Amino acid sequence: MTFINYSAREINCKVVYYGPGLGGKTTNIRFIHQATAPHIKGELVSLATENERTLFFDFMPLELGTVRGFKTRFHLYTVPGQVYHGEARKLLLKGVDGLIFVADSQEERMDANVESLRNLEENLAAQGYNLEDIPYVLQLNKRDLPGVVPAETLKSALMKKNEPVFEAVAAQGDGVFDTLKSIMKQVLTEIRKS
Amino acid sequence: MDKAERGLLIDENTLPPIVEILGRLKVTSMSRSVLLVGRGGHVLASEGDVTNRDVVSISSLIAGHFAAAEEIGRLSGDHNFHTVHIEGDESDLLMCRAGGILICSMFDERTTVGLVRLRTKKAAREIEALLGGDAHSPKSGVILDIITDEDIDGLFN
Repeated sequence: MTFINYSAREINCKVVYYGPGLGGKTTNIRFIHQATAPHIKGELVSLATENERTLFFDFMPLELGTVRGFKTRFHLYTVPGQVYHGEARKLLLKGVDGLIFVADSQEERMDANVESLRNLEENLAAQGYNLEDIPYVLQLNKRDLPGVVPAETLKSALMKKNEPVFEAVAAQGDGVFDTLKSIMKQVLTEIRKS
Repeated sequence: MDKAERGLLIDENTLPPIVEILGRLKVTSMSRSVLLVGRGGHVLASEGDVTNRDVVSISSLIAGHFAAAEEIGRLSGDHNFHTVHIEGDESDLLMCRAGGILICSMFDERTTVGLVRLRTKKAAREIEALLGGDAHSPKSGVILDIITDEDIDGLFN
């Protein structure tokens, strides 16, 4: 839910990283946290298990600057990827303004990608949304691993609506900011249209 | 879900009375601080001793916690979990739904749960009434249509 505070001259937007377990959602957000200047970011909050698997969500606020006098702040969330955390994923989609689907490029994770994407569409529908209407980016992660599925194959299996697609190695930061920038632009453009 | 539920605007006329209600709530409930939080986790307004805290992160966690509590309610057969109380050794939190948003009162041993609950619910009703009108409409006071592609690009330079 975009929150625009005219009094404080603020625009607040929510972006959610979605995707299968161990696909690199938390790695994306951790890299962003490490690589951004202290004055534009808030604390990285992780509700995780003892072995660092996301239990509920990771969260970090990021201030982008001002546009027409409005301070622009993005709240970045990840969902827990493991199948049995379905309810948590559904809750995190409340008020979402933009979605990044982080796909795992490894062949053995192809089914998990497809299942997670199907789950995303179901959970969006449960919240009254439609993927067609929401700013959306597809990230193909782990491109550095040997024997990954060709990007074109992944695209034909996972693309939903001619969305921007970025190849990434989130652990090294490759493609992380390109993905983020793309979704932020889409979200701001969508706000303007509404 | 229609557009109106997906965006929340608070215009220059709406915020001062909300802040006034929050200020009154803080005083009359003897809370340390009160926050108004959107269901998406955004902090909408705050009053009291919150300057040294990470209000943005706290607001996100409040929204997540409340959403989880509501879902527990739904799965256990109660579709209207409207208030959540967290009790600590030195301080407590009371979260209360106010229409589409949340009020959170943070308090300590200087007051009682009963008083905070009573006052917070009263404030929730007042704020719900205030936001029931045009404040929810994405069209109210929109000046964002003057934002250009260049403005957006400028944010990334």
